[in-house]
Amino acid sequence: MQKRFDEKQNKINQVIEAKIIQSIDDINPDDQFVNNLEKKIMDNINVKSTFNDDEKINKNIYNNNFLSLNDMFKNLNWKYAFSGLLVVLLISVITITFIRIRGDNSVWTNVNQTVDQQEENVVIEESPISYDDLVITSKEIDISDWKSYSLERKIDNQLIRYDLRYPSQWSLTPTNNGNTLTILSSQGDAWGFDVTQSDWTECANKSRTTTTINDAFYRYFDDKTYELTNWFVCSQSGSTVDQGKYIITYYSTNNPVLNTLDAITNTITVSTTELTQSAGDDADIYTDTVYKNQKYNFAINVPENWNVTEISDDNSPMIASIKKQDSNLVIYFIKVPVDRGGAVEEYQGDPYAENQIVTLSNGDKITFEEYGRKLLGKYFFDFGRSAITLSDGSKIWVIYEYRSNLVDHVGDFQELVAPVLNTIQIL
Amino acid sequence: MSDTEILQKIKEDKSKYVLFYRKYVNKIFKYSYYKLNCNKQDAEDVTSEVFLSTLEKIENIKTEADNWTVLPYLYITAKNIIIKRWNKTNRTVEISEYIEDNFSDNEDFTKEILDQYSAEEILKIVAKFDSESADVIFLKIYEDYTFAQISELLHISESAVKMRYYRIIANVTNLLKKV
Repeated sequence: MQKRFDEKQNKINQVIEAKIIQSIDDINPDDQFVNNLEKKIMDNINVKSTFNDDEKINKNIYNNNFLSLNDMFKNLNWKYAFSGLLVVLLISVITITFIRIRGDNSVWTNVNQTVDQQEENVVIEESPISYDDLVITSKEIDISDWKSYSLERKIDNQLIRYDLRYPSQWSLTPTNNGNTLTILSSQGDAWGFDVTQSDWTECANKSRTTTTINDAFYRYFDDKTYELTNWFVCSQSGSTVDQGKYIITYYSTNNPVLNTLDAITNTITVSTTELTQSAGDDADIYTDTVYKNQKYNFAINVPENWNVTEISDDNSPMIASIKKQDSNLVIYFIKVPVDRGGAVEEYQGDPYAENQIVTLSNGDKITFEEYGRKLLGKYFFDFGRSAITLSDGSKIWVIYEYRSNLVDHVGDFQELVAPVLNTIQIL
Repeated sequence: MSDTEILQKIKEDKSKYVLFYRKYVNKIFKYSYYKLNCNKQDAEDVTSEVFLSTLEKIENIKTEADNWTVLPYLYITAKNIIIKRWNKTNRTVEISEYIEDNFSDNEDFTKEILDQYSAEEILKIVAKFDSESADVIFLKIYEDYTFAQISELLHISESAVKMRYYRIIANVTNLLKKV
């Protein structure tokens, strides 16, 4: 499958490359433009040449004059010259004093006007902008209009939630396993945030060579074309984000981006919740489901203040639903495959990406939210989603819904739902 | 005649500068046209500015090797002039990165690209990406520069050049699918 995919992509790449070459080949300037510009260049060369000739002539005149002055100096009578100099100085002092007493400042005004005129003629050439010249510090970056993003992961029996913000003009793309987020700037620089289960000490020791993260980025960018060159933060404690295990990396080519990345890093907050629930043989929901011709048993342990509202059979897209007591919060466990095969509905994208598209069996493409409404009906006010991994490595979706518009911030009820999701076991 | 020889002749006789001009005017016009979203008038202005400003600085240009060519210098001059123009007009990148790691199973897509999209349409899509990525595409595909040469010219690492190249190609594929 992967080989066929690669072959097809290579073929498309070749066609696009050929088209680009063809399109650039087709571009040619008009003959008239080329001839006119050549004439202009020649005129400039001739003017410059004439100017240089004039310069040489002036230099010769100056040299000649200098020689004759030299001769004059040799024959100078120093006695008369000194007397003459004194007379000139005396006349100058009298003239200046007279002008000042009269209050006539026309002489000085003229001088200023000359300077002004000279300044008007000065042409300031703009030098090409270099990114190196830009100095932005993280403290100066306004993050008020930045986007928000949250990521939750269960690590060492703790639910760890990472909240971060990033510039609105950047794009964020999570990997399919949800562990790595990559944020791309318009310059193409990448910033990666990876949550791993690896031991922190190991992470610190291998901060520049950790294969786990490198592999993740390799997978994302295509191992033939990209490699990480720099590591940014690899820290469990003592920094702004001081709980949980995480690795932040960046790939960048210019300093302003690095400063922006500093600012992004400063927006990360981490909160943890101890997970005490566990599912198993005595789970509240224990159901079979068939996925890709394979049977799976779902065991869902429902917390004390939750009720089971529905357990569905194999023919329904629904596995089960549970409702929180004294609340409108309902969680639906739904069999929507994450990958693209083996189901009526085809889903492209990632649970954490924005604007995901679901391709229906009739070819129509709708957003994930529209899909949720289609599936869950008119009470679909707000929703969240997560993915759970099956034993063969594939995943299905879990959609959870809050049947109320009182809590309209997805993150708030994600916080309520996530501990429940983490009690699910695929047996 | 090699560029090194032409440069030597220019130092003796300025009028020989037209040899550079005639040799590279088409390439610089193509590059400017491509970078300026197929705007012919702007491309002509930039081409003029490139050759006139290079003429001013030609005496300062030094050759470092026998196979030296003035072309990278001309490209960088063009690039800087275009950036200056964009800064004056507050030009914004019209297409942000669009990445999907899923590709349609449509077997006819390759044929579709050949039949349905004109060369200029594809060129306009490529040119709308960020400036450096568009440079990478131009230099790699049209000039057939190696990744190492592009890296040296644009002062970005070779791996970044590769990343940008393959990412843009993938993005063009995806954007065409959305047209």
